Amino acid sequence: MKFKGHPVRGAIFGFLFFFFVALDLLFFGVIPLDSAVITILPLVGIVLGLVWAMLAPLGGKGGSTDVAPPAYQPPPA
Amino acid sequence: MVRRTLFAFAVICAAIVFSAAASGAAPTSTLGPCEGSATFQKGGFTVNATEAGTVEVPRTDDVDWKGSITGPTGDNAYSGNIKVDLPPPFGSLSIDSWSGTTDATSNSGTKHYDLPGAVPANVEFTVRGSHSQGSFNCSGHVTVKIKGSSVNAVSIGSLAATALTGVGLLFAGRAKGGV
Repeated sequence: MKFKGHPVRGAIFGFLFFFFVALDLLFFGVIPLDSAVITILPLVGIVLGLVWAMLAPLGGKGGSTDVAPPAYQPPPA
Repeated sequence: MVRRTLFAFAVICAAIVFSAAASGAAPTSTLGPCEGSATFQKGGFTVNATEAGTVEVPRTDDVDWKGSITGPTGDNAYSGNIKVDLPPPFGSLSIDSWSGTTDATSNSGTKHYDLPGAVPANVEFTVRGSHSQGSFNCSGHVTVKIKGSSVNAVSIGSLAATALTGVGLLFAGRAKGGV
């Protein structure tokens, strides 16, 4: 499995983002305190964060950056 | 954040539980030989032990509560507890418990409660109670939420944290070495 993006960042922020989404749902009265959604969403967030980091659809190397850097040529003696 | 939230709910539940079920007999949907009621003075309503559904309570109030159990005679050992249901797999949070010996089969009183503004309104939570006296057992539960707007410091803070962590998640999707 090759990650184009940042998998550790993706997992951590995926967990936190979906955890706070669950808290938002709780605080705005969408789900009750004993809802399993509060537990499940952060775990789903880890998976989605990893998938997000694997696909890495933002930015990315442009065509020109795929070209190998010029070889180092030592200055003439 | 989680600990603060749980503590806040514990405060709410303790207030309601003391007002409605200090005799171990008042939560709604009771099973067993218990009866109880709680009258919210400012709210202007009474909650009976047989009532189902969600009870919306004011943030601050004085509650006249009473409870009774049918069956026990003479001195009997009693025990009970009040818990708040948490998301699985966390089970429940114990709010209060009691035990001892008594020959009383009823109790009543008035309890004042005042929940801090940081405790979120409009959030449903389930409070479970049980009471045993002699060979008689009661159990019940009530779904409670505080009246008021969902918008407060806690919910706004949660929204801000959602936005911040969302930005962090977006950046995790930037390709390594990308511009």
